[in-house]
Amino acid sequence: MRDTIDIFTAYAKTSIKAWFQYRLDAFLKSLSVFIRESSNAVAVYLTLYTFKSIHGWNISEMLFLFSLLFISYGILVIFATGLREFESVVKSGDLDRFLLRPRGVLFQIICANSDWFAALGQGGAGIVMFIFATRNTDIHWTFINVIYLIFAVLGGIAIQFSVFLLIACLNIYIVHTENIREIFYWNLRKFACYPINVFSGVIQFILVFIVPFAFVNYFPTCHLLHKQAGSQFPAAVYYLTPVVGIILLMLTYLFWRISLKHYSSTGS
Amino acid sequence: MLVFFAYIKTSFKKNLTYRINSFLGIINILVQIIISCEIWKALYAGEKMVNGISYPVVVTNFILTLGISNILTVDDFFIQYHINKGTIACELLRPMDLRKRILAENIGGMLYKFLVNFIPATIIALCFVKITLPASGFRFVLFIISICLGVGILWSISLIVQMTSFWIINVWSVSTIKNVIINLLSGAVIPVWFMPHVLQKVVKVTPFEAIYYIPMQIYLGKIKLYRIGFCYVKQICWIVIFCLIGSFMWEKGKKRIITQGG
Repeated sequence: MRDTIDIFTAYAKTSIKAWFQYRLDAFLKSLSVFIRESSNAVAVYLTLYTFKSIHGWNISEMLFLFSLLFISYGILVIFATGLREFESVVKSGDLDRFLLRPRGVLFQIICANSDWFAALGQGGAGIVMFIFATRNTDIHWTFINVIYLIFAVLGGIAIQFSVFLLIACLNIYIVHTENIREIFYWNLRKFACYPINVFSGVIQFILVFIVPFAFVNYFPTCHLLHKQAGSQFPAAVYYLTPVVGIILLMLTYLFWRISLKHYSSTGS
Repeated sequence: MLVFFAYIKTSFKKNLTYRINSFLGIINILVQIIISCEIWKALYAGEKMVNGISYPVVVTNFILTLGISNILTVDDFFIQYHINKGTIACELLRPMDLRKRILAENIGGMLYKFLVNFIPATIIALCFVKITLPASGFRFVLFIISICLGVGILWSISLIVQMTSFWIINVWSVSTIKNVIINLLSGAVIPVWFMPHVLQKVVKVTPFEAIYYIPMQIYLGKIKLYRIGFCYVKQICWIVIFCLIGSFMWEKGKKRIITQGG
């Protein structure tokens, strides 16, 4: 166990050194990610300047919805950058090297790379939005609510991690998966920036059952801000985020183990 | 001129090789159309008019700006790529002005996006949503001219961003921030009609208005015919100003190229 932690810190140190090699550039990149992500919030703010509310959600509540999505991604990307870029690992044949080392492949992939700019930029944007949102909403920060929030964020990270892991598994079978991620992660994530109740049934179904983004930010936000998620959802959905996260993690990890057995090198 | 067209053609064909990417581009646009239609529907919440603008007008505005902004994704990293690779030296030796070549490649890319992404996506979307037609056929022609000028403005801004790569190693951050500002202020994300008054005033004295807003106003018939000429002049002025800045940077930058490797 100590050994594992040692390796993890050693990896983290090198990755931070590599990413922050050019200090000014690193700062500018983090800043521009921050600005890019915040611009979503600014757009919603400007829209709600005229319209006051969208489907009963005001600006603070919308910001809260955003913040959960961004904070969870900011933390996720520290662990999942290797999975996000797994395609190049398979293509270049670097996976063979990982397989030969005396540590779990997944462990190495998680440690070896972290997109620190996205972590700082998106995570930072998320935290700023969170602060703005909580100042203007009447959330009572009781002990239970804080615990609920922590579990919701952890669950959200687990759900998105599973999606990344699943797509990484597909890499082993079909090598090129950039487009699949674009459709199933990035495009669906755009829907998750809004209260999903606004959308039609098909989209709601996808966001709950196929790629469960609804559990990442929508249901937790509804619970904390005492909003109705919609009569079509049973009351239990508010508490399911960590459960969904753990189940998905287990299933995708199982699939990952099976996929690795099927791995045949690209040979380059 | 022949070379110019040859570059356009090659760039178009280059894009066409990745079939799945074309398919993906269509899905991307469709997703954005769906989201916006549903969001604006929820925002209008059954009301006929907000600030004197009806829901179909907003949807029309949205689909058209989305179309234009999607077509207009100019590659900001062309010069940087060649500087980092060291191939900028060979590029400078070619008998054709590098800026012309960039323009040709971009036009090819735009044509591709227009024909392969935007047209199919719009046709699919039109089965579900209704858009307002242009005020008249003649207006539609004027609208197209205005769009071309809008493209010119975006392209010349991109040229300036590209030129900064002579001074800074990575233009990614500059390009990202530029895109954010253009998207927010030009009305690509939220129509100019719905912006706070202060911001509307800012938009009207900056080039942002001239990119999407002027063409859209012409399309919807909100600008009187005799004033359209004035709008064109405004757009052309911005193009000239940006191109002059770009050329100035180009002349300065060319002299201080440091190639890394090659």
